[in-house]
Amino acid sequence: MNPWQLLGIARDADTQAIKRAYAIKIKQHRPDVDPEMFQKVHQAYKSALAGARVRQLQQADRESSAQGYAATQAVGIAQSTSNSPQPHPLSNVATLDAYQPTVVLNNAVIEQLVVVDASAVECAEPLEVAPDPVEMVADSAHTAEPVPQVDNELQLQQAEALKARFGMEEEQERQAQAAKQAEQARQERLAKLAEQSQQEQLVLQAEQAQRALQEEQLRQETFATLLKQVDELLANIDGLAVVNKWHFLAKTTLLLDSEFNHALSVQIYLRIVNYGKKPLSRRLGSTRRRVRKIAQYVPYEVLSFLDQLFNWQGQRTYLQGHVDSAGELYIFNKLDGDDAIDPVEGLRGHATVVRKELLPKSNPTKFSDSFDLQQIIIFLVSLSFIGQLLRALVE
Amino acid sequence: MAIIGIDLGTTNSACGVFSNDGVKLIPNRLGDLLTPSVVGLDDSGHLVVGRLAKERLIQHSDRTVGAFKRMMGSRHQIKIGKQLFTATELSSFVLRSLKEDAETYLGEPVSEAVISVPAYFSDNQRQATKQAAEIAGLKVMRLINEPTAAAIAYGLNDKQQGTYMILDMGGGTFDVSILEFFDGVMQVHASAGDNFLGGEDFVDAMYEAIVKDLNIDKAAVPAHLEQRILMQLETAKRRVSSEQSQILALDFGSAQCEFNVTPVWFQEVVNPLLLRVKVPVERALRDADQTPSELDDVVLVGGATRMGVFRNAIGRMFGVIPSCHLDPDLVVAMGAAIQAGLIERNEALEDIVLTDVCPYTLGTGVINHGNPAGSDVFLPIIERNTTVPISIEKDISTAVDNQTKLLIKVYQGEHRLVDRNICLGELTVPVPRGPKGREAAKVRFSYDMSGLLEVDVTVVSTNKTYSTTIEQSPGMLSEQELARSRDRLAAIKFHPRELEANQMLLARAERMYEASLGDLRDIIGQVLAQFEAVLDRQRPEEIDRARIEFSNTLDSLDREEWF
Repeated sequence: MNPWQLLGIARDADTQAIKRAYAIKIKQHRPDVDPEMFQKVHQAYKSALAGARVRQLQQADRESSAQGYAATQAVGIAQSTSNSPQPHPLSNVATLDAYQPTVVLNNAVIEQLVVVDASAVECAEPLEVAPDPVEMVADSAHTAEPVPQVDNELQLQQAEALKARFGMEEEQERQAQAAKQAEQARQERLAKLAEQSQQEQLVLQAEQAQRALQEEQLRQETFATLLKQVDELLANIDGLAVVNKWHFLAKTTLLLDSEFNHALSVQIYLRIVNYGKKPLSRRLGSTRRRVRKIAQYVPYEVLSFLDQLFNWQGQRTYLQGHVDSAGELYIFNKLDGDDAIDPVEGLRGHATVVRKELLPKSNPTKFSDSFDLQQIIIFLVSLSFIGQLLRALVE
Repeated sequence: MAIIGIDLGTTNSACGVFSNDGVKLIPNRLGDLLTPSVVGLDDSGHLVVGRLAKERLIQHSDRTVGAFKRMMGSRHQIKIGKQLFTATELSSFVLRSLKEDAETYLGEPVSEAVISVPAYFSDNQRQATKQAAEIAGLKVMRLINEPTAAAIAYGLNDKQQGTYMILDMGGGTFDVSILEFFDGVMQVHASAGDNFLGGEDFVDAMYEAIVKDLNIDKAAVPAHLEQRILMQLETAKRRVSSEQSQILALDFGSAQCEFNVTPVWFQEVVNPLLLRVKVPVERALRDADQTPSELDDVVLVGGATRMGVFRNAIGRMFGVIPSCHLDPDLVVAMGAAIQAGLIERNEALEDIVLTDVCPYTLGTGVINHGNPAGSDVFLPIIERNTTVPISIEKDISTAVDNQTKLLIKVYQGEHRLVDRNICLGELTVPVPRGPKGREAAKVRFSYDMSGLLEVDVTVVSTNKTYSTTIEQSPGMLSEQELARSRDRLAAIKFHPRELEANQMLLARAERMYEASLGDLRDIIGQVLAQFEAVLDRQRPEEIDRARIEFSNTLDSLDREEWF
């Protein structure tokens, strides 16, 4: 029975339908009552969900590739139109210069552009109003309020045309004009509002940017200071072994920030590995041979503290593969020791604790098996040897 | 007969029952919903549990013990008076106390329970919890993971469809679960955790920092003074987000000093602990194939999640604002009670199904062919975050010629080498002698809904199945040991219950008397003497009246927030 049959749904059921069917099915086969059937239903559910997901992705893929073409076109339009409402004349010239060649070369774009511009006024024949599209683009781009003007002219023309065609009353004309004016005022107000809110937004953005900049500066400063302190510690053999002296690292809340934490983690990791690679020279430096043999290690307590801050053990593969493989020797070998927290720690009250280990310390079961085998093999070998001897004797 | 739901916590425990009008939390004999998980023996050898024991923690710290949940599954013993107890046995006292309270409340004997455990509790620790219940005379119908219990309580409360992350930080453990709720199905997608990260660690971190700061020899601090400082720090911890400065008068015996606890200082001290929260959260998200932005909500459970620093850290690390609208101290007990209702097939819960996962990978060790002398290689059988109950079989075969035995060790963990994983136990099965690789065995791991593991090994050629539960499960008591323990502990009687409320208040007043100075001390001394005089007269009505008055007076004078 395939997953869909088991769940009692069509092969092309969507996620929602799959979940609903699963909910009904597992109420019939509850995990505590019918574990085997439950597991089957659950597996079917997972397969069906995975299938639905693949189908969804495929569909999204198809849609996005179809949309991709339309999107590029739309971008073309957006770029050209975005020139027009720029309030700043200087920047306008620049953008206009930059965009002009495209406009001249690409007739299709011009056509679209004009349609977009004029669509606001519902004009049927835009090209009549703007006989020279290139010029119009330039025009609209230079003036501060191009759209309402075009709007105005067009409406006027439209109204005249209508009047000529249908013999419209003057009353109606006045009404149309009043409406026109009201519309114009409204447009102006809107433009002003837009400008205002734009300015407010700009101020806000600037403030945000300023704050972000300050934060970034603080981050960088803190980062540099912390690393400097680490360097100082590593330069001082006596200080470095005292865990307390490393505690400054934990004080900044920036450590809770993943990016900051990671960057600092990698830098300190590198420094400790490099510290390890440097042989101890001055203190035990009576003979050269001895010097080379002694590598420097940061003590376990310090490494374990750093591991707590940076989760080095969790990123072991990454740190060794992409940062420095010598971490195995200088860091992880030491951390491997015993990282288990003593369960007795944190006990409240002062009762005496009598320690008893879970498993007997000597746990040679693995070897005892091979010892058995060895003995057996020795026994067999000696048997055959004796056999051979006997045979030789007999012969 | 009702099944009760129990939250057996590191700091506090609670219990509830599912009745026809929903979840009912059961008050203990002092009228509190929370019973501190503290156990002690008084001078006459009587057992004291709960608030009375906690009040005695300072003055009788050598005969009282708390926060022993982390020792579950270990064989370490604690000496109280002349007797030795394992954490399992101490837990059984707490369970016995809860059981008796439930019996009084329900008016009928109680013998079955659902008990919550941290999601990341290992097989050993789960077995130990189960045995603690057996010693206390309770049959465990199900062990439920704490965050899952919390999730059902929330799910039933809100009935909202969606995907949630539950962060559960109690007194001693931290768990993360990601689950989905739809059409009456509560489905856990992933769980992860840290068994040694909880509210008590924050207090310990503060203590360590102060001791280092003031250059005090920790070993020289008398036991009762250390307990008192821990209590003061607990209070300070709870108030730290609301008060810019708290001056604590600390008495170390050899030195008396004042220490200013500020939010900045606290943040610095607990930062390393907060960083540890990240690891399991990221893992759970990864395993559930979710990003923080896809979650509908992040729910906080457990007393320690009340800390402002914890909430901020979560916001900072994952860009989500957590919510918490059920009491974080009680929500797990509510969930356990609902699970009990589910097992009883209560009609109100008929259309709800709960599925959970196994939070860690379980497997066995096989010989590393690249380096046979080195550590065995881990062969995962049940991958972590597989939906349970599940049963999976894998084939293994002999590795050397003429092998006569197969040693199957059971491991829990994620490391490639078994040495770095936790050994849960082992099983030896005989196989016929032959060239290597000829003899094969099917190893079947079955993980049930309580999170308990069973291992079956079938030798293919002989078709014999060795289906015992793990032979040598460390920390687990054998049948005889269990029976012996039960008999021994049954002989230890509770402190007379009817006197407990009075005793608790006396212990509390003594604790307060010792911790205060000057006028306050005099006042406490006076009310204490008055109450003792009333008790001596032995007139029940008068005692009841005086007790309420005494309790109110103490409430108004107590400066610590310890419960």
